[in-house]
Amino acid sequence: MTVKTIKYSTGELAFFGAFEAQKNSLPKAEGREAANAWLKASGIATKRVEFYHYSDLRRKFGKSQAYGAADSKVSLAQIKAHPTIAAFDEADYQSIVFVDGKLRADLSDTGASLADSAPTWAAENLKRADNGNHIDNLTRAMWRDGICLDIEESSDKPIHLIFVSSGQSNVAHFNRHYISLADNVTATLIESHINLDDEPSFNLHHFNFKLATAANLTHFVVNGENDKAVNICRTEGDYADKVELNSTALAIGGAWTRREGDLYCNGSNMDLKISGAVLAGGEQHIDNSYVVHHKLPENISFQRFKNVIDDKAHAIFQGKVIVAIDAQKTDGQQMSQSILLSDDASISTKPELEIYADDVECAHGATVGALDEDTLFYLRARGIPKKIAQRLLIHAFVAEISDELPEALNIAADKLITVWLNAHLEA
Amino acid sequence: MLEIKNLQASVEEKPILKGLNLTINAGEVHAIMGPNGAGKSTLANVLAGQADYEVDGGSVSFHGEDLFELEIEERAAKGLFLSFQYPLEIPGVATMTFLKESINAQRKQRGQDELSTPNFMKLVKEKAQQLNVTPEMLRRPLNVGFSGGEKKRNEILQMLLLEPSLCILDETDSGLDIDALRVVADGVNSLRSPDRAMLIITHYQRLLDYIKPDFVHILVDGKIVKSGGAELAHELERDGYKDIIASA
Repeated sequence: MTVKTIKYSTGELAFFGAFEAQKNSLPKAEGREAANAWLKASGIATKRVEFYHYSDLRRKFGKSQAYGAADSKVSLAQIKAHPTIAAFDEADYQSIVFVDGKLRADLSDTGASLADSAPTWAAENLKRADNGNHIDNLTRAMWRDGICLDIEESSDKPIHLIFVSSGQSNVAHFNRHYISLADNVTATLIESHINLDDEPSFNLHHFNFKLATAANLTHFVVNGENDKAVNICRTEGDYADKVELNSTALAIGGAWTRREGDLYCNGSNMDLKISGAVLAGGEQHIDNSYVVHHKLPENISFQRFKNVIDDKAHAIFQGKVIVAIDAQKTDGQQMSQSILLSDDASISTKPELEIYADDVECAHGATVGALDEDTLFYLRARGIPKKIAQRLLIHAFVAEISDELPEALNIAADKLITVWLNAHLEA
Repeated sequence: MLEIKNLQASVEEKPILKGLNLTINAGEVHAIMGPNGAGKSTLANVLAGQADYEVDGGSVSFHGEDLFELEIEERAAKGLFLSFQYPLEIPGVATMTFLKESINAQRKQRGQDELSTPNFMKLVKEKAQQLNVTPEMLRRPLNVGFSGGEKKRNEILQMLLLEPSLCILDETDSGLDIDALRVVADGVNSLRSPDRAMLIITHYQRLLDYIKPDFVHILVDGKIVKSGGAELAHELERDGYKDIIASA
């Protein structure tokens, strides 16, 4: 037997050291040691790992990275005044607030902490043997808290998960969340990530979604953090027959954002929409990477991302559709459309299809370009100044994503897009 | 109002306008006619500021200012309006949003207050009716799914709303049937006033039966080769460009 020895980075050593030092103070859970051992054996993903080719995780774990709990003093008024949260003022929602990685019952309307009691499916998942994913193992080893939501009844009232970073500088927080929808349940989930100050923040989230037969989930995510925030979110989706999913992510902030998912079609006749709009400038790095696993026949999945990239920002879209041999009549689509506003802006886009069935309809496409000069001329010839004309055209471009949202959420998305455009393309 | 002197312009390094002179005073309606490739649309686009057209020489003064010193939107705010030969379709931008942005952007540049939404709505409703532009068309994204005639009526609607001092109509009659032509011409004629000038670019004399010009100019190979009154358009229709070119 040969033993592969890995030369760890100082950042990896800091992580492993923190795990040993803190594991006994973390909520008791099977699976932590195994996850840590997996990470020790493989190392934290570098760009040599295909799935993280554009987003080197190991480089994000620096040697001075701090780990640990926080006890931050934050008021609900402070949170609601943040522009990202204020945009939802007209949406009547129930909130669940996390501050620096901890669920805050005092600031929340509902929700149970994973640290208090894990439902059976969550407990089973936590001790499950590893599946070889880096973010899964990082959060499985180090999670301190998470939300458990088993939604048994339909509701018009959205649940708003608000993740707040405040008062700490560059302390890493790890969450695992377990959210299930029972048969025929329709629910709306808003997920906002914000900072209350200018300090760097570092958050990892692992979401497990389990949607039962004919469940219908609208999930709207806003990354509205400051320009020093690192935010890594992974979703594992387990979807049954006739599920309808509309997952839309809007990035208007953050320094380094990675959103990824492995979505499993464990049934038939479902319709999965995974979309995103990225508005990025400065030196932002925004990565959306999703794999849809079509395991059974007659499912539709549509991944659609629109990126508007300025300055030296870099956006990434990696989309993969895997169609198993039994997944006949699959309709798997991927589309990535990008507008580059500067010479230094960049987009890396890699749609992939891996098809084993023979009767499927799959397609992928990617476009990259600048704003159309003739269209800009037309608007300017009517007296509209260049920057305002650009705003109008960009807004129209990304609105194709946000217009798919229910009205109250679309209003919020519209406000957030407008705020970004007004700040970014000052007339 | 507009004084063009020895204007030379090119597209992709190909000279199109080769020393064009034209003076337009307030209250006058000028028509420019000419064969394909003479430079009619080039003239319209150069005046509006389309970047594909390179100005190689000459000067244009508009209300006493050097036109080429002004940005595209500044020219518009100072009263220059180009009715496009091929109006663009802009998916995702609602027609009403576009109209309101245009009016208010111009007002703002002129130091006027923005129009309130009710006043704006009232104005649009009134002008739209005049041009048979239906509320349904106004609800659609700008020009998306519009027929050729609908697009042209939408151009004239913008002109009525913006009330420019210089209206440049580039082949506005193309794609219009006789009924639509009459509606458009009525719209244009309603704007005729002693403080306003018009430059009508057209291939055919047909439009000029409805919008009577004070002056007609024949543009051939980048230069005006003949000028006259409204009767020149009829001459042209009868004899064709060939004789005119030969006699010029």
